[in-house]
Amino acid sequence: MKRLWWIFFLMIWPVLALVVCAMTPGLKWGFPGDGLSDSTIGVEIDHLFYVILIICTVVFIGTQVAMGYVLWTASSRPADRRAWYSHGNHKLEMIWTVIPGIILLFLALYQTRTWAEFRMNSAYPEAAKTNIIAEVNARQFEWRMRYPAPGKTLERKPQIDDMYQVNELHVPAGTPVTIQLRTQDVQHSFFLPTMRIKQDAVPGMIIPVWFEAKEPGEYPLVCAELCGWGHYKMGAIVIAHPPAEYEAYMKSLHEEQFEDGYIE
Amino acid sequence: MLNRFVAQNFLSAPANASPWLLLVCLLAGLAGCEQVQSDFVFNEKTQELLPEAEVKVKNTLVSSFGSPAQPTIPAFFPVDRGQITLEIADFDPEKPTELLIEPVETDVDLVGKKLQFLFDPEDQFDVTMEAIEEELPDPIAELDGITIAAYDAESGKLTLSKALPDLELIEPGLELAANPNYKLHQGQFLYEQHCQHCHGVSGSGDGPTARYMEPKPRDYRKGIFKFTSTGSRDHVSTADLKHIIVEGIPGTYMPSFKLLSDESLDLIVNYVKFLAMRGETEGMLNVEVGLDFNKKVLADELEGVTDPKEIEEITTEFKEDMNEFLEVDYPEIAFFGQLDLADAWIEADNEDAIVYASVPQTDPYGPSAADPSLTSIENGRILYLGKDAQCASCHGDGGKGDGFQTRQLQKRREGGDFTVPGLHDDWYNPLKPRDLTSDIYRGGRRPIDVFRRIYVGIKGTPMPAFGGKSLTDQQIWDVVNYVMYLPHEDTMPIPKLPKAEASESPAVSSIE
Ligand SMILES: [Cu+2]
Repeated sequence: MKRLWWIFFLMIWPVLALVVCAMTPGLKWGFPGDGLSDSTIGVEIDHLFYVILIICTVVFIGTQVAMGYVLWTASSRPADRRAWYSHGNHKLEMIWTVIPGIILLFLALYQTRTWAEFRMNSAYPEAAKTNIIAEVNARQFEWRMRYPAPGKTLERKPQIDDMYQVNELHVPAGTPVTIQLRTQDVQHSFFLPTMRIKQDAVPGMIIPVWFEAKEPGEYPLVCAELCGWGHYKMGAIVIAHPPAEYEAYMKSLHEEQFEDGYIE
Repeated sequence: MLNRFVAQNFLSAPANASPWLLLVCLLAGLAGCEQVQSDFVFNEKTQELLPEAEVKVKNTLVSSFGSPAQPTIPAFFPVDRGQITLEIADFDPEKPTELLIEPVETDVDLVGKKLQFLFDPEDQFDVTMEAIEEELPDPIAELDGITIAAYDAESGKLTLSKALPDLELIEPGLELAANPNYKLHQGQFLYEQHCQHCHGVSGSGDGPTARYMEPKPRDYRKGIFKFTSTGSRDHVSTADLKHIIVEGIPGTYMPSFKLLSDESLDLIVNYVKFLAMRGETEGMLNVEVGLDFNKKVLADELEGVTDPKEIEEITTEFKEDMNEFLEVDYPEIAFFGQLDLADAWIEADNEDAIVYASVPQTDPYGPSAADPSLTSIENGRILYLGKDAQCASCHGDGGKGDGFQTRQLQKRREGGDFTVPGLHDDWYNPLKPRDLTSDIYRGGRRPIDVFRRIYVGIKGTPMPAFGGKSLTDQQIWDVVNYVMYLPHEDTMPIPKLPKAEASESPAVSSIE
């Protein structure tokens, strides 16, 4: 009966864990698509993910081995032997507080650059500061985009020649671009899963979000904040064009937007 | 070993109620998962008919349109039913369970599929009426439920599940529809997934989420859709409906369904049309029958009559009249009424039904084509405030949607006042005129969209059609330019023409 626990902790659970671990690289660690980030900053974020994953794996295996050792040796001891209580042992407490502390401190320092690059305006790539291409308005339950007319810059107040689009965000590929994120009602979250970009849209705030699509293509945009009964409907698409095509596309969008429908 | 451990913990103590509790929870959960059978509902007007008439109307609706599980529609309605069309090559009345058809190429297995005979609707109607007159069973009804029992692709021989009646209409060249309502089924499935929670099973705009919404989701049953590219008296076009589903309606709860596949979008549009046609048919029958034979008419006739004998007499006579009407006139009214509705839908998809401007849009900052002494925006402003268009009476002088009409009691169409001041739509929901400064354009924000809103009006609302009547196309463009300028009024001064004399006349003085 005692060995039952030993079997559970050292056999079933670790075996299960190992099987899952062996399978996950094949499942791209749960990442969508080919498992590689479609944006430049996403590559750095993925790197941080793997660093944490490695640390967690080492800690997990270490603690499991230690626990298995304790259970195994304890189960063969005579039942009448006095137990040793480690509770309150200053040295041990120090060890298992300081080591995780050091790990967390390392992570905090190690990720600072990536974090700042994504969040702090001063650390943005130069192009992201000037390339403000659209305002993204989240609302129950869709995404409405507002672009400046070709050749103009995005103003905070809607302009008479602005262009509008729903559930479609067009960007140039291969260059950092910034969108201004807003919400017209409740909280939503701008999430580009394949680019590893996620930012909450908060009522009353205009939040800049930058990203760079590495390749031209279509990327999903979804809402990642449960925002109401229609939350599941809030899917859109980001279309990254080669830069030259992007210009042409924006021009055609402008023509379409100001179509007077006159047929001679 | 593990099992014993589990078993000991849960079953060793008979007093322990937890397994039973678990069982109860599971069963309760399963009960909650039971499939709800939803069905089309009939509108209140149908319930107001006298029982015999009510049954007739309901029967017509069920036989024409089926149920959500078995949607069907007469072939003359312009809905894509997704049928496989076959053509009779030969029919030998001696062998009534066999039909020879022209060879068809289809990957769909025809065996087991329903088969419908696409007679000319009027011929078919004549056959039915003749049978009724001679008090014989309707041979058309005998065709119901025929399926294909076997099909030989080599010879084109169809074997039917039951014998065909003796009918002259079944002859070579006649078209057949196998699996006749396939696409309605598919559409119903998608509609249920994406639309039903707001628009309701019958398209009556009363799904479970509808109560949280302002404005209310559209009730399709009047066949009225607000934003159309078709003329003011026309139905909505298929393209208009698809446009709304793809683009959504900003400023309302109708979201965009742009990411659905084109095929799914078409199926949904198709099913929405189907629901609208069903609702319109019901409305048409209510008017035709209800005018003379609803409960209220009888009650009116009996008003003040106290003698039981007289009541009996009046009631009997009334019922006799009604039964005669239902037997003689009703089938014709129901059939031709549906035919007319189908025609209206067909016409809406006609190229000529679409409204285009006869002149290109005037440059908002340049001289107006209607009054060259003013810029287009300036002239638009004069028209906006003026008597012909009277935009300001509802939309307000500043375009805020606060004109004096919003504070007045309005008349109901069938008489009497609304209880709440302000405007109402045809569904009797209170309606605010659009705040034109909000920069939100529900029916689309292209100049042509706004032009059409003014030209054909917004159907089902007090927004009238100005095109071809009170405003010329040139004038409409001026109003479009002014309306689209309104949200930017605070940052852009009204553009004036460079000439001094042109800008001298202030807008107000030009209004008579
Ligand atoms: Cu959301």
